[in-house]
Amino acid sequence: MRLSAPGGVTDFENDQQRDAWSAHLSQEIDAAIGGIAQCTATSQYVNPSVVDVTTFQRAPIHWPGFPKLLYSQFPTKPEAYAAADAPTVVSGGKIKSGGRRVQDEYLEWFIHRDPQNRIRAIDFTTETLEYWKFLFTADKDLAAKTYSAVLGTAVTVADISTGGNAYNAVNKFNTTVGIVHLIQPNNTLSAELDIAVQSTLPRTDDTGAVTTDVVSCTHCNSPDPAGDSLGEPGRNSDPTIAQMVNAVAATGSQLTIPDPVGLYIQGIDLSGWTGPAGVDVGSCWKVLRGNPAVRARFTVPDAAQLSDFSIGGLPIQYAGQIAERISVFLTAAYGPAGAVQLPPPSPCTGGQATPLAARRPFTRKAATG
Amino acid sequence: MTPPPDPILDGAEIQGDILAGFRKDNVRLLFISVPDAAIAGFKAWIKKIAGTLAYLDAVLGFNVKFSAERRRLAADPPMQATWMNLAISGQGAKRLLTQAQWSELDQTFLDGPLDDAALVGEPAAGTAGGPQTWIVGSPGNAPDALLIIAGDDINDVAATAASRQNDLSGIPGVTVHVEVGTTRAAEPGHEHFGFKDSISQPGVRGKLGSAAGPPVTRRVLDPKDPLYASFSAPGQPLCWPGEFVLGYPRKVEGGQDPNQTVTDPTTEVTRNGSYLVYRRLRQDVPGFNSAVAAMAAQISQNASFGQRTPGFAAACLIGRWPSGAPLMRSPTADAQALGNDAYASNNFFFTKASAPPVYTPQSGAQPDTFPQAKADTFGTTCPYAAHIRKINPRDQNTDQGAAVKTLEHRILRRGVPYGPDYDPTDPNSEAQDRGLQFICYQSSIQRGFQFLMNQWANSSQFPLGRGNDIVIGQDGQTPRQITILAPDGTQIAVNFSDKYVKTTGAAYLFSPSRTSLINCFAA
Repeated sequence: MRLSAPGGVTDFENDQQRDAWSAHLSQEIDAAIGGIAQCTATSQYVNPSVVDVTTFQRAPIHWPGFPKLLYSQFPTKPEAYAAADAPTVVSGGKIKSGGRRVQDEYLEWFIHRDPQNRIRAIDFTTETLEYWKFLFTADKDLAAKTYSAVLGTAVTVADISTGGNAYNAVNKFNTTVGIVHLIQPNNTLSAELDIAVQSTLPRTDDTGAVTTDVVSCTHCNSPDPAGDSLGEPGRNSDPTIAQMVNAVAATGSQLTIPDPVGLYIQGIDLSGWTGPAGVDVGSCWKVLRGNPAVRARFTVPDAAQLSDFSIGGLPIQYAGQIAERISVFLTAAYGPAGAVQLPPPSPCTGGQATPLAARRPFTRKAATG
Repeated sequence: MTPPPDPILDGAEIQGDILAGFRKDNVRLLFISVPDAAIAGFKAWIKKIAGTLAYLDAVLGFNVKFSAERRRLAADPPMQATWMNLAISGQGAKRLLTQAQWSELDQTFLDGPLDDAALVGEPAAGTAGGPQTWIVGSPGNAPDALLIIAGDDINDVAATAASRQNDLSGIPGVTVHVEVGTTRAAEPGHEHFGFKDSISQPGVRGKLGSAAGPPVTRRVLDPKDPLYASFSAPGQPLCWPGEFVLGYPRKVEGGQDPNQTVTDPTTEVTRNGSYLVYRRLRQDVPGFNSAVAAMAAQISQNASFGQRTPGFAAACLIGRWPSGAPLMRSPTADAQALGNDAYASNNFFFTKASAPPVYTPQSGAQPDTFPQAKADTFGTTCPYAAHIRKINPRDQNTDQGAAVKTLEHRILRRGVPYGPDYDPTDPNSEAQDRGLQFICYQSSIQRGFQFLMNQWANSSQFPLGRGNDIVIGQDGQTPRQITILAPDGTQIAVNFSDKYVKTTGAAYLFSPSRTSLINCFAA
């Protein structure tokens, strides 16, 4: 089958582009599956463009969009919120500091402020770099046109290009004046696919027992016992994705992330919110793109301030407080148990999670064939 | 692994119900309302009563001795006590303290339970079952203080309550509303739906007075047990005391290392104090029974389930059988002997198989011979929507990340039933008021009760979209649903049109230290 664009968005203008995206994504999936080729004869993770998964059962795996790791790095929650809301600084073609550097739960946001620096709106996205890079590569004008449509402002090809005419993911419209897609280094589609595929393999803990808690395990073919782990155990997302995928795989099921492959905004929990007099809080939240949603905005009404809203009686002062109430999710799909013979479990040589202070900066290796 | 050193706790300062638990069959809850004109008189009363409250050293000492005697005699020893603890509400704190003092207290506590009622899933104000219907803490009727009186002898408890009420009535304008809690005579230790309650409580690191003092939580695991450093007993992880009492180390929120701690700054007002959440929870026993009967009939239509009883359906909602035996160790039928074994019935994880613990010789415990629990990461044995799995995911990773982070969201529960047992032969029984006087302690209402309700119990999505906690979860007036996995893997959605536990009263209170009561609240 042809794989859809994330969220089923309809940016592509012809079937050639649609087919090319499907082929590109399919290759990404195959590359991730190739990462376990040396470790198992038959991958339980299947490519949904090749295998019909329409009868597979679905299970959403969700997590809050605020990076909980920040709580551990600051004495108080307001300080953690402030760090996540800090203006993004780009230098040398990279994010040097600011919120976008630490928003690592597959949800990133941009804060629109008025001249008095008060928050007027917040744009949230789960769109991936891979998709936008592909769009640019396929048709630069289309990419610029889509940027313009998403942001509601004129964006040219030059605005989103590097000097070398390649796609510039950290262009100002995706960093300092707006947001279009994820750029935090860990928030990539390849990372999502990699952890999902690698987590299918049975692993044993340091006692030799089979474990489902595999997020800290090294990649199965890593020659380095202290090599990169499947995911970051300190994140909200990775431990649960790894554990649930592994548990499903342990039943001998085939599994996958079904079409449309992506990361999504599940929704915002508005229970306990109060807003300014006469304002329906629900009307301030609007999904702008995708089904499932990949982009949404929270708008502060003209006559109000963000601090006029409260959650459980506590005023909202930071966008991060809203991100805490947003659920991000992916969908796992799995077939009947016993469809695949499991490979023998291999040691999880990643060992125990190390204390934060001692942990080296987390990096992922791109899945390779 | 060597356990980290225990914090030293001030047993003369911390009120006894917080960490040790009164564990008494008879309880009176005196909700005290104090008009402005009576503040001076009430302060004098606090100063007088502060020295008569039961603090940690006395309560723990009694409980340790009682338990030792019970093990020795294999029966309850002839020991009795009646104790009191005092807690102050946010409204009361604002009346009794200076602004500089009450500003040190948690904002959610100060705001009170009406402000976050919707956040924890209560029906909106003005709608059926909303806070305006609460018997305790309805709008305009927030109590200023709560005096907890608990004891073994019902007459002594009643007499103590009457005496304290008499004292308080001597302060012009002060009014008292009394709530009663009583262990159910027919089924001691069981709540009104018939299930053994308060089985799984977190362990608390810490020793009383000095490093040589008694541990707050009895440790029964031998150093040879692989869980020795992190568990006090099977299924009872050791939490840092700062999760429950202010002024002590607590796990760094969001951190990966369970022993990386932080101690929040405190003042004389807050040090050695704890936040108390009170909920008056009315239980609809016939409603619950009807719901589980319907659920049993529905799931029995799945061939791989076969004929299932209402008791099985109820166990799926709770995660345990009435005896307390967990589904994880007894998946298809209740096992009274397992339920009777306090250690065995709590010896299980969700994603790992259980193993026989290695007990210390002094514990007197022996590894049980009941079938061990198998790993159930997928929720086929104990449904994800089961109450005990929703609010205590144990070793399961969650939406918050690694399982270690669940240690930040543990509370110490001190519930006791109220009201007469449901009698299906009595047509008047259904209308009678019965339920649970729910009390829990934590160092942050946001991390504790509020989080557990909002993020886990009420969420239909946590985890894997398998539905609400049908026992305590609520989402306003929204109908609730769970998904049960049949043995053949079929997902069966079960709908619940009503709530069987309804809030009929609420209060957020602060249980101060002895010094705080005398030097701050009574000053």
